[in-house]
Amino acid sequence: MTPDDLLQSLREIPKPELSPFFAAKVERRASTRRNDGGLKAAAPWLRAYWLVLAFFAGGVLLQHWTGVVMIVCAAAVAALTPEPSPSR
Amino acid sequence: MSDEDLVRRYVADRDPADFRELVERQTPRVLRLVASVLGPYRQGEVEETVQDVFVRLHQKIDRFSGEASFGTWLYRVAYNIALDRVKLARLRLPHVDIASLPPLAAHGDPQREALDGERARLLAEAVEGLPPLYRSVVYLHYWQETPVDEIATLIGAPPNTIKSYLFRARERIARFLAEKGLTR
Repeated sequence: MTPDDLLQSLREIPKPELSPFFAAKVERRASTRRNDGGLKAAAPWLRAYWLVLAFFAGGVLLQHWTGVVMIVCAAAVAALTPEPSPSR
Repeated sequence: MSDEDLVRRYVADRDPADFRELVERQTPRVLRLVASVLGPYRQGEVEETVQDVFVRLHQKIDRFSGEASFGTWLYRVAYNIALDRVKLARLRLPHVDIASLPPLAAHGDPQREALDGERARLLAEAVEGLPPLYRSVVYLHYWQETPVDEIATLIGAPPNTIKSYLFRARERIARFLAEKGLTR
């Protein structure tokens, strides 16, 4: 038996097939990526917005002990909440 | 309309129907190429890898300059993505599970089936041990039953080079199998 005879047996292994609506799935994944790109572009503006808001809100909240408690609670929740796993 | 014209039209108009047409046209060849790089023992990863190829195409389609044909460009992207996945899989799990190999045709004769099983195992070991390019060409030719001219298009090399890859791959496999006492 030659190697070529043996290699011919590879054709008996089933060939992979794609699921129905494969093109639609690709399109959906591609458009999800596009939306992610939009979010990433907006992220610096959102960060600046939240920074300014936190600065002024902090100034107001720190004037009373209940505000200080609220800040401590929010910081504790943020620290203890697990980060979401990175999306594909 | 040629693929290149379709790409240009998609880049200009961003009509999703054009992108879908490109995907549908190229899927059979990209599937064959990706499957041959991953090999028959990683079939579960084929669909996701083919999807990765087209998602990458969607991201980078603006960079297609038109110097090479669209097919050549896309198949290079597909080959690299599939090869990266194989390398990653080998880092995680360095050995192919030879026990998972499908047996050759059943004969009803246990002795002969055992011999066939041993042959299939050694053949898989020989092919999986080849350098990635030779392995892909062997799988394209023998498993995917792709003609040499089409392999040349997918790999981006002249047909004579593909024939020489096949010749050298067969030589290496023959040497491996002879060492194991399976062939002369």
